[in-house]
Amino acid sequence: MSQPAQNKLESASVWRCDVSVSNQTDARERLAERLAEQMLLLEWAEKDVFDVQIAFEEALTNAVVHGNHSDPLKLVHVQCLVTAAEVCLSMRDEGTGFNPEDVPDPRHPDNLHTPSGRGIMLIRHFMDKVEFTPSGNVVTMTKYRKTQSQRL
Amino acid sequence: MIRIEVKQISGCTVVRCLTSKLNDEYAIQEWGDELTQAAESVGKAFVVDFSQVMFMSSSALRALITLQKTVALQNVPLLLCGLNDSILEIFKITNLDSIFKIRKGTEEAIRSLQYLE
Repeated sequence: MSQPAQNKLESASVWRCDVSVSNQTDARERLAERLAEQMLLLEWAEKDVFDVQIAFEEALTNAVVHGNHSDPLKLVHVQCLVTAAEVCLSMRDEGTGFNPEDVPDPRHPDNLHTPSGRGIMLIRHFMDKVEFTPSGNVVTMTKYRKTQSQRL
Repeated sequence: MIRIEVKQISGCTVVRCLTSKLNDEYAIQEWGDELTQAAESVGKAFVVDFSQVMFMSSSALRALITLQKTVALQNVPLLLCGLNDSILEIFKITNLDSIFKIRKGTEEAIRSLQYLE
């Protein structure tokens, strides 16, 4: 990347977002779109935007459906940080939590025809770092920007 | 709402997804029901064309696994086609490429049926 372009990126404002969303899909969709827009503004590769969007959707769906049991009165508290170097997302639901280790491996032949249970696996695949709190109702995930040589 | 177009081509039921983002679990549930309904009067194969789809969450995978069970009851093959590279990656990392017949496009899917018979 040329020096002026690098400087332009560094001077671009870091995007932070701290919002609470219900199970209404419109608000979640707008948030997903803003996240993608901010990544593209900071010149993230389209593949990275796709990866983060998948992780975002899966984590939010898990929080709404499994964490909050689709209760319209419960919220998911979402924090996003987008910089030129990393994207960090954190989601906390208002449920009782779970142990991610208890989720069976969906790739196992016995589970291949099971309709659900792939969200966490996709999050782990598409993000570089994924952590759950011991209570299991908060997930924090990070994607690091790769250099050109790391992509090759 | 996920828009679809259902056609009969060479005796096969071909469903083309016209919505680019398959991520809303409620819409996907309706979409899955529509696919299942279409599969109840299926021709010699059921083909789902994703060439207009840019994004797919695991909720869509769930609907497809349920659809596969319905189509299997009719004793006809289910073929998926038009998956972009990123979506194909999802099928590969979940090993779902081992249980779905995935083809490049609709024509290839229909043409490949002769080898499945």
